[in-house]
Amino acid sequence: MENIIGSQIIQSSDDEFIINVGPQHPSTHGVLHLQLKLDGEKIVDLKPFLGYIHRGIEKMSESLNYKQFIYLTSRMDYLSAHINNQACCLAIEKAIQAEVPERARVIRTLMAELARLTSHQLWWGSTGLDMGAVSPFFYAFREREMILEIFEETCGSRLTMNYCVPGGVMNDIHPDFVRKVKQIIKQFRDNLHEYDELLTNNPIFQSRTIGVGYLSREEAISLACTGPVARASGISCDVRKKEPYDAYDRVTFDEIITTEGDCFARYKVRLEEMKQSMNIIEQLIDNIPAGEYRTKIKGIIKPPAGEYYQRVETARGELGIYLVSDGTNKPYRIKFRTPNFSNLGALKPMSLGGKIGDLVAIMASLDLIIPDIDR
Amino acid sequence: MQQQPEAIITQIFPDLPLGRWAQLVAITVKQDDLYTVCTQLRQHPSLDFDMLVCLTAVDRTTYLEVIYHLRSTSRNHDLIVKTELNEAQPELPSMVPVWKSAELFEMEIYDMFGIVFKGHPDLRRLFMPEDWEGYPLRKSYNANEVADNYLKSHQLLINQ
Amino acid sequence: MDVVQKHFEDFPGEVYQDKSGHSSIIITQIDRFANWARSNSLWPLIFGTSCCAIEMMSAASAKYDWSRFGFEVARASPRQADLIIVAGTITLKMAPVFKRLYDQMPDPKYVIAMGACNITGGPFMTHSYSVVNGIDKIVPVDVFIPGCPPRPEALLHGMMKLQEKIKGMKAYVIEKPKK
Repeated sequence: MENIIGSQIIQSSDDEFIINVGPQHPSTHGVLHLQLKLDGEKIVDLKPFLGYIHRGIEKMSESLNYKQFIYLTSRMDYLSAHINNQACCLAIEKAIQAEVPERARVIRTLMAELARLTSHQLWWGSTGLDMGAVSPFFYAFREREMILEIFEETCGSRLTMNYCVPGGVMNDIHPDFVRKVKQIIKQFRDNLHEYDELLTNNPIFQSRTIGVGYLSREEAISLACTGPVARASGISCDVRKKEPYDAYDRVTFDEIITTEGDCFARYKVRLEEMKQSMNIIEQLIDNIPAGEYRTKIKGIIKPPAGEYYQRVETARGELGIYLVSDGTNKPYRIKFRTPNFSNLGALKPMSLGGKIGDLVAIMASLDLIIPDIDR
Repeated sequence: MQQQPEAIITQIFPDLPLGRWAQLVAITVKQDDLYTVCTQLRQHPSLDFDMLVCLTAVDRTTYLEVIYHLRSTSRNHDLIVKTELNEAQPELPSMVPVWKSAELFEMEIYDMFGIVFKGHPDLRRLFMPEDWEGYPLRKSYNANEVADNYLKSHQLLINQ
Repeated sequence: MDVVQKHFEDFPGEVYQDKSGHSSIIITQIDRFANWARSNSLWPLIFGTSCCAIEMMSAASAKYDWSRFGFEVARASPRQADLIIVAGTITLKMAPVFKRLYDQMPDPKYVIAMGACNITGGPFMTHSYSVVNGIDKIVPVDVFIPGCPPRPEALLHGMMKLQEKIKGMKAYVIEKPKK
């Protein structure tokens, strides 16, 4: 066994210098521990150490029933918590073959796109913060707070809103919802030029991100990267287009694909995705169908024995839920295929040969959420 | 929309049992043939499964089931490859030379189930501390009361 | 602290008076000044592990602004901070790291446990094999803030409670909260 199991530190010679980045570090977006082997300031080797926020969600789900484990998934990728809950509800509805009313589908899609907007806004703010610019942080949170107010009025909570239930949504939207969402979208569109003025056209930001952290198309496929990381390298992988779920089959939007594959390309892809999210919201907000917001499901959910699979597009990539059921009211095994887990594999090939400052820029552009990796 | 590769799979691998796993086409492969089958799936021009989307394992109490979820970005189809392992000595060849995403997945499965992947460049515990004993996601593992014992044995409790 | 129970005729409840709190007029004035200075310029350490860290960032941003209370300078190094706001679950692998960060902070130092995960383990209390059920097993905690995640206003309320607590302490004697 000894010669198969890898060692816990990197082997090095006398000239090389090993440093630890994290687990407590302002720019690691969570508790990510990296060991770097440096030759001067050039990175020669990189080894990630995970598990600092591993809470055993998959094992816990085997002891909770089908309605209870959904709310643990909010804590995995907490910036698109609604989309994680939506994925679980879709998987359970596929298993018990429940019909979801049209109104609930449209409401779920609207909240998912608003969640995607808040996630990208926070990403933009923290990207500026990592590069040394402090103002974008406050601008991003100004817009984000407006959307979080809507979440609080509709769902009761700002961050981990447990709004999706198997069969629809937990409660109907309040009467002021449509007017407020339209107001926010209009205000955000008017303010979007500030984002370009602050960061996109900034020469310091451009020199730190253009040409840095190149990821080729073949490497991105082999590493199973999804989301904006893959779309910036030329792979078409948006789940909302490949396997539409909820109300995505009745809206038109573009899938943003570029081929440069560097940090600036990933940045531009996410900025454009924000605009596409606003287009989707505008198409749906005026035509919310009337009807029920939830179908009646039996109190104890017992899917028939077998395996079920559902995938959705979160703000960071493709989330896949594999549900193995044995006919009882508790799942036998649940596997969450999270997008950040595979995107982390892209960190090493992108940063070898670069400097530590480039490593910070690359981590900011990958947009990792560490509890999503560790679950 | 995704397409189903049933026809091509039966043509190239006529003697592998074909089935369904969560409405995706699934083939069951023996432990010893796994590496050759996977290399063929990767390199055959009409299959071209270039992405390993997910690698996971299920503990079915009498045996361990390992599941590879493959996808082809050019042909737009998905496939599941299953193997069954004995719980006493679970070993598999590592798929890192074929798909690079297997590196992190195999480390996670070693940590959670105890399956050893021969040929992996850096097989170590990924999530649990280095000196952890036991494999948490097996059905025989009891999750309660292990946390306090760990804190006590590492002298982290405040009134020790 | 030595405590003696006193009785008052017209007060229906129980009254405890701290005997050792009696100091001379000079020491109490110095204490008042030092506590006023300390409580109005606490520098937090940037330590967020999971979801509560986002609400901490919201409390730092312009709408809920914690810098009006003096918490402006958030330091990345524990040697320069005197408050650690533990935002996010602490797991077994993170516990020795967290203890080391706490030990590196110079006295006087204060701990705020933010979120349900740090009070009792939160949603991960039962059935999880790797979560510390409450960080008061590892470090002495001054203020607990419940919520999952607590609103930014709840965090500000907790920080103001800590400021009140500091104003009632002795300035130059290290007092750790009782277990």
